[in-house]
Amino acid sequence: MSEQGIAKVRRLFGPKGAAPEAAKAGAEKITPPFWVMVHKEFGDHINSWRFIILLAIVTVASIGSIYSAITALSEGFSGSYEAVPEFLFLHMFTVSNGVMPNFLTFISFLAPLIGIAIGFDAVNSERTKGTLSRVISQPVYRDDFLNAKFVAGLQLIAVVVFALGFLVMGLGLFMIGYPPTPEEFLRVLATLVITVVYVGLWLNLSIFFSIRFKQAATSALAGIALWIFFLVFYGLIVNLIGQATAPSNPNDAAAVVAHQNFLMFLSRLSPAYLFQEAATTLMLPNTRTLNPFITLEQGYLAIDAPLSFGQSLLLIWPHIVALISMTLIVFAASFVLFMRQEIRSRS
Amino acid sequence: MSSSIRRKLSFRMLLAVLAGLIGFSAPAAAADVDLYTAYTHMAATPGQSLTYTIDIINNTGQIQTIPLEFDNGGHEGWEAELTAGGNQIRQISIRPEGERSVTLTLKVPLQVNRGDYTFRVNAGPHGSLPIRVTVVEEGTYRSELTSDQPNLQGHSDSDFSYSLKLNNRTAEKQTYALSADVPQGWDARFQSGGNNITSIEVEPNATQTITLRVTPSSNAAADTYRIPVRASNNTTSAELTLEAVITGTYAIQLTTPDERLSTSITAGGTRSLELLVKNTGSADLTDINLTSTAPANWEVTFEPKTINVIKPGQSVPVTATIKSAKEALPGDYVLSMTASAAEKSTDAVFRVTVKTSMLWGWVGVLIGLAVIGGVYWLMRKYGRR
Repeated sequence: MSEQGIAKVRRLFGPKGAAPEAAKAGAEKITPPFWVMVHKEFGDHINSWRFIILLAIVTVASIGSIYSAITALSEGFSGSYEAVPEFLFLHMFTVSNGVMPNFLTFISFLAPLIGIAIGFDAVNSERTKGTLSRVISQPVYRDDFLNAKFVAGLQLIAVVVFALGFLVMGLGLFMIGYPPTPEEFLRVLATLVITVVYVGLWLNLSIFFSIRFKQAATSALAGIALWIFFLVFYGLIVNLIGQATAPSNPNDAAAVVAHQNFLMFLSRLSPAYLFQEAATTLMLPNTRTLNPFITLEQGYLAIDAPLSFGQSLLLIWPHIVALISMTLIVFAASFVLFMRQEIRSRS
Repeated sequence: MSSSIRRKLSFRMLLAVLAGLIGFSAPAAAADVDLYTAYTHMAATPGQSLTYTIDIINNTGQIQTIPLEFDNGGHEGWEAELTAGGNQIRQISIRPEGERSVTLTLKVPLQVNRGDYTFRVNAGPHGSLPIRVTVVEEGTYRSELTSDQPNLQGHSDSDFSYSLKLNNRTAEKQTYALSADVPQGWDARFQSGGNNITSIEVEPNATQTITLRVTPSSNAAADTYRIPVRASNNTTSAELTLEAVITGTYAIQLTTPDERLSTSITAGGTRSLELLVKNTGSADLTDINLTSTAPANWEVTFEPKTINVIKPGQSVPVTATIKSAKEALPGDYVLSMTASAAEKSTDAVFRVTVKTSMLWGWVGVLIGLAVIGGVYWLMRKYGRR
C-alpha cells in the first residue's frame, strides 16, 4: 500500500520527484538516487583494473598514432613553408607514416572495445552476484538502474574520448608548434562528440547483451563477435555481394552507378563505416561529397576548395542522425528487455 | 636789297652751270670709264648676303683714278662693303685700256619690308652703277617657331611626337626657354638629338629642329586638345599652337557595387546578384551583351540582357539571377560572367559557394526527435512500475 502511495506521489511530481527523497529521509538531502547510482557506477569503473588496462591500450595506441602522424608530417612538408597544407592541424588525426595507422583508424577500431568492455557485464554480473535484487529492493525505480548504467558508461566514455582527443591535440601542438584555427578546433570537437556517440552505441549493444545473456562471458563474446563482424567481415561481405551483383556490362554507366550506390547503402548499414565516413569528412574538409561517383556535370567548373565547418557537418548529418538513432534504438531494446525480465532475489 | 637779288642770281647761275656740267659730262664719262656687273637685279631674303663682282673698265689711254662709294639710296640697315684684294677700298686706279674687279657685299637686313630696293655704286665723275634688290619676303627681327605637322591624332595611350623648327631671325645668338602648356596630367618633353632639353641655343638666322613628345594622361577623354608651345627669352619669343586629337579608348569593367566577387547559393536555389557594368574608357560603348559561363545545369539570366549604350565614366546596374543545379556539390564553383560590347569585352569571375539545403538537416532532426519520442514512450509504458 505504501509503495502504491509512493508511486502515486511520484507520478504527481514527475519522473525524478520528491518521492525517493521522502522515502530516503535521513540520507543526503539533495542527490536523487539516480545520480547516486551513476556516481557509484562511475567510481566502480574508474577503479577497476579492466578500465585501467583498456585505457592503457588506447593511450598507447593514440601516442603511436600521433608519432606516426608527426613523422609523416615532418617528412612530407619539411623545408618550404609554402608546402604547408591547409588544415595542417587536422592532418595529425588523419595522416600516417605507413607503419602505424592514424588516430582515426585506431579510434574507429579500438573505441568499440571501450564500450564493450564497460557494458558487457553491466546487468548480468549484478544478477549473478545477487546485487541486482538488492538494488531494486531499495526505493529506486527499476528503469533508473538501467539508465544509470548507461549514463555512467557514457560519461566515462566521454571523459576517455575527450581526454584522448585533447592529448593528441596537445601533443601535436607541442610537436609541430602550429596552433589550430577555431574551425579546426571545432572540427576536432565535433569528431570527438561523434566518437562518443559511436562508442555509446557499442556500450548500449553490450548492455543489451548483458541483459540478454546470463553469463558475462557469453555477453562479452557476443559483443566482440559483433565488433569483429562489423570491422572485419562486414566489408568482406559487402565486397562479395558487390562482385556477385556486378552489372554484366561495365559500359552501362547508369547500371554501374546504381550498383555502386547499392553497395554504398549496404556499407552504411554498418555503424563502423558510418563513423569512419563521418569522422573522415570532418577531418578532411576538402571532401565535398560522399557519393562514390561525381558526375561530369557536378565536377564542371568546381574548385577544389575546402568546405566550411557547417557544410561539412551538413554533409554527414545523416550519419550523425543514424548513429544517434541506432544508439537510442538499441537502448530502447535493452530497456524493453530489462523491464520485462523477472528479478528474483536469488539468481 | 641789291645784295639779295645778286645772291639769288648767283644761285640760279650756279644751278645752270651744274646742270650743264652733268648733262655734258655724263656721255663723256661713259666713254671714259664703265662700271659693269653681271647681275644687276637680284632677289633676296632678309638676312641674306649678296655678292656682286663689279668690273671697272678704263676706256681711255690714261690712267684713271676713280673714287668708289656705295650709295644706300636712303635705305637704312643695309650693310655694304666694297672690297678688293681682301681690303676695303675707297678709290681705285686703272691702267690705260685696263680693267679691275671689286667685290660688293650687300647684306639684306633682317627687319625689312618686301619690295624693290635700289642702290648705287658711285664712281665720282665717271658715273654710277645702279643695283636693284627685290626682297621677296617680309623680314622681321624676331624668332619663329613652326611645325610642318602641328596636328596629330592618336589614342590616349599613345605618344604624340611633334617636329618643331625654331628659327632665330634676330641678329644675335639667342637662348630660348621652351615650354608647352599641356592639360593637367599630361606629360610634355622637348628633345633635341635624343636628349631631353628645357632650353636651346640658336645662332642668328639659323634653325634648330626640336622634337616635342607629348604623353596624354591615360584617361584623357576623346577630344581635340590645343597645346600652346612657347620658345622665349627676355628679348624675343615665338609661339605655336599644336593640336592633339585623342580618339578615345574603350574600356569596360564588370563588377559588383561592393566589388565582392563571391556569393553563396543553396543547391537548387536561386540567388540575385547586383552587377555593375562600367565604362572606364573615354568613348561610348555600344551594344553590351551579358553572357555567362556557368557550371553544368546552372542557369544565369541577366536583367537587362543587353545595354544599348554606356557613356564614358558611367555605369549601368544589371541584376543577374543565378539558379544552381539541384545536384550541385556543396563547395565552391567558378562562375564567370562576360560583358561584351561591340568595342571591348571583359569578364568577372565569381566564386560561388554551394550550400546544402537545410531541409534534410531538419528532416534528420525530426527523425532524431521521433526516435527520442519513441524511447520516451517506451519509458512511459514500461518504466516506473
